[in-house]
Amino acid sequence: MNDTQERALPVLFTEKEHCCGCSACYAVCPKHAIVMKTDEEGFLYPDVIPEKCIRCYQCIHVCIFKADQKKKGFLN
Amino acid sequence: MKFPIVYAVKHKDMNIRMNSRSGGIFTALSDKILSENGVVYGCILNEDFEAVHVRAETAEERDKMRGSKYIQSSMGDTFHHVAEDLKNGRKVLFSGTSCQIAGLKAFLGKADTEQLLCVDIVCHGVPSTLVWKKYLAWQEQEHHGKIVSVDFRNKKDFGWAAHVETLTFKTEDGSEKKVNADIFKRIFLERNSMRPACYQCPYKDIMHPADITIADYWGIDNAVPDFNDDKGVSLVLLNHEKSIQIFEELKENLEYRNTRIEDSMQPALKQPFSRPASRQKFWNDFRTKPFSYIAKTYGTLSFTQKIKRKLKKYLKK
Ligand SMILES: Cc1cc2nc3c(=O)[nH]c(=O)nc-3n(C[C@H](O)[C@H](O)[C@H](O)COP(=O)(O)OP(=O)(O)OC[C@H]3O[C@@H](n4cnc5c(N)ncnc54)[C@H](O)[C@@H]3O)c2cc1C
Repeated sequence: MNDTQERALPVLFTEKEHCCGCSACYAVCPKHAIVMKTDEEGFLYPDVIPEKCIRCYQCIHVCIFKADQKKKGFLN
Repeated sequence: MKFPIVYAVKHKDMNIRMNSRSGGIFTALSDKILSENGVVYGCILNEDFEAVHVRAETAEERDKMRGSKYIQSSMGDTFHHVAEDLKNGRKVLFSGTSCQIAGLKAFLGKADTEQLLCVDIVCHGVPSTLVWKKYLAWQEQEHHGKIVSVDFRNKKDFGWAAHVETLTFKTEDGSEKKVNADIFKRIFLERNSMRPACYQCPYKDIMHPADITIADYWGIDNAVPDFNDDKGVSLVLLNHEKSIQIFEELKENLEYRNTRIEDSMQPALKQPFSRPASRQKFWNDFRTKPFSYIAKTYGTLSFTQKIKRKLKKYLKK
């Protein structure tokens, strides 16, 4: 395991309410380390593949949905 | 801009209007982009009756984007394709829900988006594809046939305001059969099947992430008396300077009236719809019970609801 991989994996959302499934994080990932997976209700959510992730956190920064939820007071 | 410029719009071509969810503004906009050698992105229903975003370069491909598909559309790799088209200097129209537009813009970041026109639809919230597919499978069983086409909201036979879904089957003896229902509509409107994030949607507002916002013009009879012929009127919100010029160029194909936002408000422009108390029970039932139970419990009016509805109609008279 190298240095980068010791850093924390990006957490894209902690509750499903905070992910709209727009795919921006999936698209921005330079390493194709994010896949969109269907949950048991049939909605797509991003899932990070630890072995491929270089911890650049671009996926975290691109997430406008959570930022906009925060502006509206829907996210602390 | 702080507030949008508001229009009520009907496409002059009745055929286009009848094939669109509301007044056909999406076709007017996308026709313009296509005529300038541009590319159009939007949601179609694929062969498996799933909603997906695709890229179109011809009117024929674009026509499949018409009509509302009341389930969440998946984006696949469309964000990358948009970036590539823009890089190649193509004009791009991208249409979708507000969260899809916001996501695309965030992804494109500092890239040159001068040639990009974004159109968002006013959105109640997106239901689950899984519920939709189970519904279709159940209907196939009930009617001993295979579904060959679906219309989430049949405007041609029932008018713009009505909400009736039409499923076309090929039956075992090879004949075609049409079934009109309102089961999926009820499940949709009860909101149990909606994506959790929709209950906390930050885009239920007067201003939206796209350059132009389009919707069904509910409240049209107040806003512009005598404009409504029950064949569909689009509410058009111009949110950005960019869209004002484009709208000017479309006007010759449109019947339009400048209206006031105060006369155009509908719930989805104010705040997200709340999570129903029955949501958890719905999903438990969905997992454990046959779809016939779901259809009966969540897709049909109860006896008391029916009585209430009758009373309401009676009192209105
Ligand atoms: C899930 C959903 C919820 C809606 N809720 C409301 C509402 O609360 N109030 C209201 O006034 N109108 C609602 N609409 C209707 C929407 O406003 C109309 O699609 C819009 O008025 C377009 O009308 P038109 O005649 O110009 O376009 P049409 O020619 O019918 O064009 C359809 C447009 O919708 C897009 N589209 C269709 N299905 C989807 C989808 N699943 N995801 C993303 N984009 C899609 C296409 O890409 C295209 O741009 C909803 C539509 C959907 C799909």
